[in-house]
Amino acid sequence: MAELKPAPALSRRGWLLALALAGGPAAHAADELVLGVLDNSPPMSFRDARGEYSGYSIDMARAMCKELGRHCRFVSATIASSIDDLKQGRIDVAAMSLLPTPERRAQILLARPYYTSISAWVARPGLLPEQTGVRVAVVQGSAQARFAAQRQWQRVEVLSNADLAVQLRQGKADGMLAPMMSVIGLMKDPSLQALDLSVQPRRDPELTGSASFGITPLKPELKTQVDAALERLERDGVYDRINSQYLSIRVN
Amino acid sequence: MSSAHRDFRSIWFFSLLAGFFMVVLAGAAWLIDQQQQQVQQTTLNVQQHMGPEIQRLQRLGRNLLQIRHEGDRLLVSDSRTERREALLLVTLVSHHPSLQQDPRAASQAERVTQLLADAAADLDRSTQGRAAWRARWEPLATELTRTADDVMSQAAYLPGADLAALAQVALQARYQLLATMVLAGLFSLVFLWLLHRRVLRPLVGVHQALLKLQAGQALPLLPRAAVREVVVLGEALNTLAATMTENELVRHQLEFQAHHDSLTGLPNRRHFMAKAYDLLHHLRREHSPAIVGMADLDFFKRVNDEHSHSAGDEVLRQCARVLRDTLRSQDLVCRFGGEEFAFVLTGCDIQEGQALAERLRHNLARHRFVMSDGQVLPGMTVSIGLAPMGIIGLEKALSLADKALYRAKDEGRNRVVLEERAVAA
Repeated sequence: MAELKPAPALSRRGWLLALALAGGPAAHAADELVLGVLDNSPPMSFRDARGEYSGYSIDMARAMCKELGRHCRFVSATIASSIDDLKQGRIDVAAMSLLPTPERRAQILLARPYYTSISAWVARPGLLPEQTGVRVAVVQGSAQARFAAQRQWQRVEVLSNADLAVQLRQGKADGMLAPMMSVIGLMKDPSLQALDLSVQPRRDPELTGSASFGITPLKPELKTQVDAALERLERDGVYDRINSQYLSIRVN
Repeated sequence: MSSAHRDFRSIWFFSLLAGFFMVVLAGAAWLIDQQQQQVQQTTLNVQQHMGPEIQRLQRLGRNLLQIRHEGDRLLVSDSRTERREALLLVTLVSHHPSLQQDPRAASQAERVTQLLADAAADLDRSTQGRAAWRARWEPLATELTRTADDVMSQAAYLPGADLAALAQVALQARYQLLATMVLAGLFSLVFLWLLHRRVLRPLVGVHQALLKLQAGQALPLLPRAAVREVVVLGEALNTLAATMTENELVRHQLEFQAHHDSLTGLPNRRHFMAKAYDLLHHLRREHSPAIVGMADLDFFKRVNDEHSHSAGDEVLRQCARVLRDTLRSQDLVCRFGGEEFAFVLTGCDIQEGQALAERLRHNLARHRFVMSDGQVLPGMTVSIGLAPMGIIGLEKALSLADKALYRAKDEGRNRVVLEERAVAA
C-alpha cells in the first residue's frame, strides 16, 4: 500500500511566482488601452505593405499612447461601429477623425481636436449631389452620411473610405462625399484619376470642423488624460511633424 | 505736569496711527497685487492664447507658401496627373478653415484657385500657353509670398506687445515695492519718534522725579506730557507727594504729643530724661559743667482751691512760659509732674547756675498771672533745688536736686538751695 505523503508546502518563492502569475495579466489589462482604428482609409489610417497600421491618425494615436505612458492595442473598427464599441467599452478610444455631430456628442466623449477637416464632393464635372438621381457614396456612420441622409440624397453607404473609390470605379455611385484628407489619398489612385473627376470643397458647416478621437463614456477620466497628452504633443511640435509626414499642407 | 492742556489716551492715538499705517500699506499691497494679477493675466494670455495664435499664423503662412509651391508645380509640370494633384491640393487648402478665417488670405486663395483651375484646364488641352499663364501667375505668387511673410512676421512679433507690457508692469512693480518699503520704513521711524517723544521721555521724567521724591518737599517739575496715561501717572505722583507730606506732618504731631506735656507744651519727663542723658553724656565728654535743678511752685494747691483748676492750669502754662523765657536756649526744661519742673543748665558752674535759678525765682515772683476772665493773680513763689552734674549720674543728680528742693521747702520756701554733698563729690 503506497504511503500517502502530504503535499509539499509552497516555498516563499513559489508563492511569489503564483501571485505574479495571477495578478500579472490583470495588471497588464488594467494598464492597456484598446484603440479602435480604421484599416482602409488612407492616408489617415490604413495597413501598409507589411500589414502594420499606418497613417496620420495612427501616428497621432501612437504618440498619444507614448505621451500617456500606456500600452495601446489597436483593433480594427469602422466608423459605423465605433459609437457602439465605445458605449459598450469594447474599445477605449476610437482613433479616427470624428466630427462633433450631435449624436456623437450625446453618446460618447470627444477628445481635444487634432485636425480641422473639410469635406469635398468628388464626381464628374458638373454633377452635383443635389441633382435628382445622383447616387452619393458615403461611409456608413460618418458625418457625410448623416448630412446626405438629412438632405435625402440617394446614398450608397460603404464601410471604409477605400470602398468609396470602388463604388465610383464600378459605377455603383455617381460621386462621393468624403473628408478632405481621404479625398487627397484616394485621388492618388490612377484608376480614379482616369475617371477625370472634379473635386469641389463643400462649405456646409455640418461637413466642416474640428475632428477628434472618440473616448468611451465609461472612463470619463480618460478624456482629461488624453486631452492633456494631445495638448503637450501639439505644443511640442509632434502634430506638425506627423502632418508633414503625410501631407505637404497644414491641416490642424 | 499739568493736565490743563489737551491730552489723549495713547492706546487710541497709537491705534489710530497704526490703523492709518495699515490702510496706507494695504493700499500699496493692493496696488502690487493688482500688478501681480496683471502679470499673471498677461502670462496666462501668452501661454493659453498667444501660443496657439502663433501656431495658427505659422501654419497659415506655411499653407500660403505651399499654395505657391503647388501653383509653380502646376505651371511647370508636363504631367497632367501631377497638375491635377497640385490643383487638388490648392483647391482643398484654399477652402480649409485656416485660410478662410483670414480675409486677405481667403481672397488671394480664391483668385489663385480660379487662375490655376483655368490654367490646368487650358494646359490639359495644350501647353503652348504655359508662358502666358506663368506671367499671370507671378504677381499672384508674389502676393502669396508677401502675405505669408507678413503672417509669419506677425506671428514672430505677436508676443512683443505683451512682453513689453509685462516688462513695464514689472518695472512699475519694482518701483512700487521700493516705495512701499521706504514708506514702511518712514512709518516705523515716525512711530518710534512719537513713542519716544510722547511716552518714553515723559516716563523717564517721571522716573527721575520719583528718585528725587521726599516727604515734605515739593515735587520736582515733571516734563509736560500729552499722553493721558503719562499725565495720570504724574497726577498720581503729585497725590503721593501730598500724602507723604501730610503723613510726615501727622507723624511730627504724634511725635510732639508723645514727647511733650499737653498742658504746658514743655517736654514731658520721659522725653526730658532721654534728651538729658544724651546732653549730659555729651557735656561729660567735653568736660563741660552742668547743673541739674528741680523747681516746685509754692502753695500751688491754694490756686486750685481758691480759684479753680482751670486757673491752676493757666498758672502752670504761664509758669512754663516764664521758665522758657528765663532759661537759655541750650538748657533743657520739662514739666516733671504736677507743679514740679526739672531742668538742666548746660555749661554752667555753680555760681552761674545759682544766678540763673535766682533769676527764675525772681521772674516768677514778679510775674502777673492774668487769667482769661481778666482776673490777675499775684506772683507765684517757687522753691528750687540744685545739684551740680559732676561724675554722678543723671538719676543721682536729680535725686540730690530733689533733696535740695525739700530743703528749700523746709527752710521756708521761695528760695534756691544747692545740694552741698554733690559739690563735695
